[in-house]
Amino acid sequence: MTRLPYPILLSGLALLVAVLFVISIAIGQVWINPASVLLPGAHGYGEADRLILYEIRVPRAVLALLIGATLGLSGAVLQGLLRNPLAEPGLLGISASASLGAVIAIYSGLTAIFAYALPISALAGALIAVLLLRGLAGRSADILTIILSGVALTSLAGALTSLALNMSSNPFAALEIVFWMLGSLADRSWVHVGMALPFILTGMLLLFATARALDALSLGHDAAQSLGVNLQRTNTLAILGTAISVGAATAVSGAIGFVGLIVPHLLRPCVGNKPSRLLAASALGGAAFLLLADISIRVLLPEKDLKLGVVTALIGAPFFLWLLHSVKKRAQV
Amino acid sequence: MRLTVSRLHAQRSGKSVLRDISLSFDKPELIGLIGPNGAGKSTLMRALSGLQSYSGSIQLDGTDLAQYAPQALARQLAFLPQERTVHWALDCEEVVMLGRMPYQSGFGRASVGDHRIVERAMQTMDVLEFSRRSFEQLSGGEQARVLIARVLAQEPDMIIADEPINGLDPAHQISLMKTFRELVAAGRTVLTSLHDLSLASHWCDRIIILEHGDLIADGAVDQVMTPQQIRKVYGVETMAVSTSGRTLIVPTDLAE
Repeated sequence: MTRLPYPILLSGLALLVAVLFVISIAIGQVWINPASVLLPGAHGYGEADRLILYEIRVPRAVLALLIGATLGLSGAVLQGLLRNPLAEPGLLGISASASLGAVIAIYSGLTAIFAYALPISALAGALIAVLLLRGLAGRSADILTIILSGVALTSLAGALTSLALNMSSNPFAALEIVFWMLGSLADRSWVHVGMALPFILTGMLLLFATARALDALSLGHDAAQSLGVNLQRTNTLAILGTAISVGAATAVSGAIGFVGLIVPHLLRPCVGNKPSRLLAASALGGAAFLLLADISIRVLLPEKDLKLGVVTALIGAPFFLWLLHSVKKRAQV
Repeated sequence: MRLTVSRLHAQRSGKSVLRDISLSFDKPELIGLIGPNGAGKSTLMRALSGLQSYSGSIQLDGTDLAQYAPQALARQLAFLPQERTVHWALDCEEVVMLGRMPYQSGFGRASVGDHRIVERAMQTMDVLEFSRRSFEQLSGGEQARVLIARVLAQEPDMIIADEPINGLDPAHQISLMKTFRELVAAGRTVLTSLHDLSLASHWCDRIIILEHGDLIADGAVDQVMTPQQIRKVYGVETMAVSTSGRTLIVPTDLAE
């Protein structure tokens, strides 16, 4: 099979992200031609258009891009680390635990005192989840144990999130529960971007640093170590990177599932299955995927405030089942 | 290269698996590590490769193994695990290129030299034609050869291989032992664990026998692999067959 050269693949994905970004800021309840606002000397737009674009749509699109990139990248790293295509922050309960952390920060009043309490608390939730998973699965990294632990963690974190929201004197508790469990980018502003950005970038940097070690891990633990890879360091980078970036992403968007599952899987053949090359591709692919999902909910049901996580799960859950089936079939051959 | 093991003890999950092992490797030779299941062969090889914690001392060229930076150690010692899985369907060339990791920095861009060494390693193992093929699509014997090419690309002084012939058909087993012989002729030390006594006796220069974590014997094949010794360690009777100047030890029956 002939493959696209890697730089061309990345450029293509980057271009796709750029195009989707522009479409994303143009589409909404009113169509705004971004060019007419962004280009200097352009005419035919009002102050209202400008406000909608700068204060609502651009931050929303920026968040979709950042969060999609985070989810795609962390999925690719987790899959490389666990050497299994079924790993993903959503499925493993990391996103749900981050949501719980965020909810606790909001309803304990911590966020009122200190704005960064929100991402930090979500990050702590994510970190606890990753450490629990490592602890439960142990060295063997048996994927069944990990996924079942993820299922249990997701349910537990979900239940605790609901409990926390129900206990608070919050008239919108039910709505909030839906937001934290399914995720959304509606009504997000530059404040949210500013809050998440430093953490997301830091986390992504740590995740990218695992690249070479993930390649070596293709040969298994012992071989990787005997090639001079420091597995302790790799684990720490992956755990902290996932917790920090997914934690911050979830703090502003709620738990969005399946992006980290679908995107790396689709792109893996394009990079010759090489884990290190999958990272940048999955980050770009994740950004494109989430931008596209966010556009589609505004196009398909503009009046209904469809949650972003609904779309990713509608695509992702059947995809997961199919993947499970094909992995099982492959194991039998 | 000189690898010296003295008074080595090792534990796995709280159980003592190696006791008071002293060994030395200092010349190109093919060494067979034999012993019944659970004798501690894998643990010994993992300890020698820096993958297993131990007490006592293992020194490489006079320096403690633990003092070596992992990458520097990887340039001298290569470990071939028993597990022959490559977790993603990488192209064979990519698999072999992983052997160059100890020589590459951060981003791991392969130099022209790296490509040349990989090509030579693949040629040696007769797998060059699979360069662009996915590892997954190869047969077990071909996969084993690609993984050994990976170890060769590492250009180590010593290769430590954990049951490399397991699960291979006789032709592939013999061709692998021949490859090891060629590596020895080219100046490398090869330590391999194996269960096949006739292959061990026919191809190895030196045999190390472990039993229940103790070093039972270490020496030239005909001195070490005597019927009495094998009966004691394995509980089997053997027959010695002489062929083309070498003695083959063939297990025939369970010992009384």
